[in-house]
Amino acid sequence: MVILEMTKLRDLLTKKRQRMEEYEEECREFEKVMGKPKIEITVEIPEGMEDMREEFMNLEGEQRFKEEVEELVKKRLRESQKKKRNKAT
Amino acid sequence: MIEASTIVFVLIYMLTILLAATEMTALSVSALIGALLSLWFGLNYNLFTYNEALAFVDIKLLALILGVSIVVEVAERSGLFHVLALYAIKLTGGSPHRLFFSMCFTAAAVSLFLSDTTAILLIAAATGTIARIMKYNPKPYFVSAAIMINLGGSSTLIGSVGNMIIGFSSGLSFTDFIQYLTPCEVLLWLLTSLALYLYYRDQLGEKKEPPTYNPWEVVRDRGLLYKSTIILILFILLLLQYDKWNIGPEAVALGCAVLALAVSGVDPAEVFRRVDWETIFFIAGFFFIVGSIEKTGILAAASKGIFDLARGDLLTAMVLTLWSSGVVSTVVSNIAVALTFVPIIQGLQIIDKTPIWSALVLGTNLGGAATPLSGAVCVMAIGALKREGIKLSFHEFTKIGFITTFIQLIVSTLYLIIRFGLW
Repeated sequence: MVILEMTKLRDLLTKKRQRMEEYEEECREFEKVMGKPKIEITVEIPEGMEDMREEFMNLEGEQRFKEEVEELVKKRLRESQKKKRNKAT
Repeated sequence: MIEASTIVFVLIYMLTILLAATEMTALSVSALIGALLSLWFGLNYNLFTYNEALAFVDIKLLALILGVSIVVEVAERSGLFHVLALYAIKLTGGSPHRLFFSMCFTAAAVSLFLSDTTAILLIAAATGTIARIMKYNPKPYFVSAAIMINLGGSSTLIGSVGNMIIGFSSGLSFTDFIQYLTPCEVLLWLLTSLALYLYYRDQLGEKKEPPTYNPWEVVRDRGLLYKSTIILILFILLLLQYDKWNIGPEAVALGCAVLALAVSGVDPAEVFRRVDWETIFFIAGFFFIVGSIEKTGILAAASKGIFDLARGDLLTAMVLTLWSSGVVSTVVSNIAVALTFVPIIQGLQIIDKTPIWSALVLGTNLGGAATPLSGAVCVMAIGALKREGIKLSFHEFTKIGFITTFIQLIVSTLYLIIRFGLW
């Protein structure tokens, strides 16, 4: 009986989790259109720095690093904007 | 004197309902266990032969469900329903009151085609996202969407699996459904959304500047969307005509499914994976259980009981069918209710049963959102709300669920009485 209950519980949780994953997937689709656009990129640890694994992984949650990346994005977008304007003139 | 075989089959029926309701086993598995037991005991009691048992399953009904699922799945993959939801939000211009009504009607409209669980995921995700951006409380929108999705499609042959079962057994065509039931559904959409609005209007929030966006951004392949839309329109047009050509709706559904797979370019394996096999196997299994019970004569006795209770009066029989199927559907799957009530109504000694079939269609549909456990759509809405960080209690959902179900049953009773001139 305990095994049966555990199986039932596991199935229920799995089903609900799967459906909620679908819900979150749908939310991401709508967020892309209605919300602020986001991009996701994967960065591998640079060659020769493999011994700094921990420091590298910590960058993901570091606020200053995020701000620096945002500055880089702004810089790149401004450059693109400038290029476009120059082309037009 | 009730025979032992009758008791055995009633017990098998109850066991199946219990297994399905408690989710001790999957819905399909509970029906298949019941089918296996019914077959075993039926053959041993010589209640039916093996070939008679195979005839219990209505292949045409299963073909219709399969065909509809494929056509709708291809349309869903094209992003058609996503675009509709995004336009429904955009056109409200940031007014939460307009957004509420817009989402209520969009939820009911998309559930004309999509399964209830797919529709709630889509509508909840769309409303959840806009609610997050606009900082609205998503609760009124999610609960109302669940109730409206349950209501949507109650007046069309392909609107729910229960309707398909009743349509096949009663001989009511797609156009008959529209003729007898669509005015009632329109009335129910208006009154239910109004009741929900009055209940939730203080929680909807203030008007805010809406985000600017292009709904077409959600579409990855416009060609697929155009093709799916054309096929969906063709499907509806053919459903309006099929009875003139001496073919069944299943032929139209399968024909359009083949066309959709052939021209859409969507991977058929992906589409087949998304077909609701759980429901198809549940129905197939339940056919054996109901077929066996029917052979014992107990359903004929139930028909006679209803007829006697109604004293042969059509109005009483109709009201009894509407309310009993409506109340039972709040706790039992509406597919099981439809499959059980069909042979009972077929056994009634009444010449024109159209009012009673119409009552059964409404009853089996309306009971699905009275409590959080009345249907998967309610469970999904509560789950999605939890993801948004909001807890909705059983009591809170049941309160509004019962109010709207009660209003719907009252309105349906009055509609049927007026529509069929039974006062």
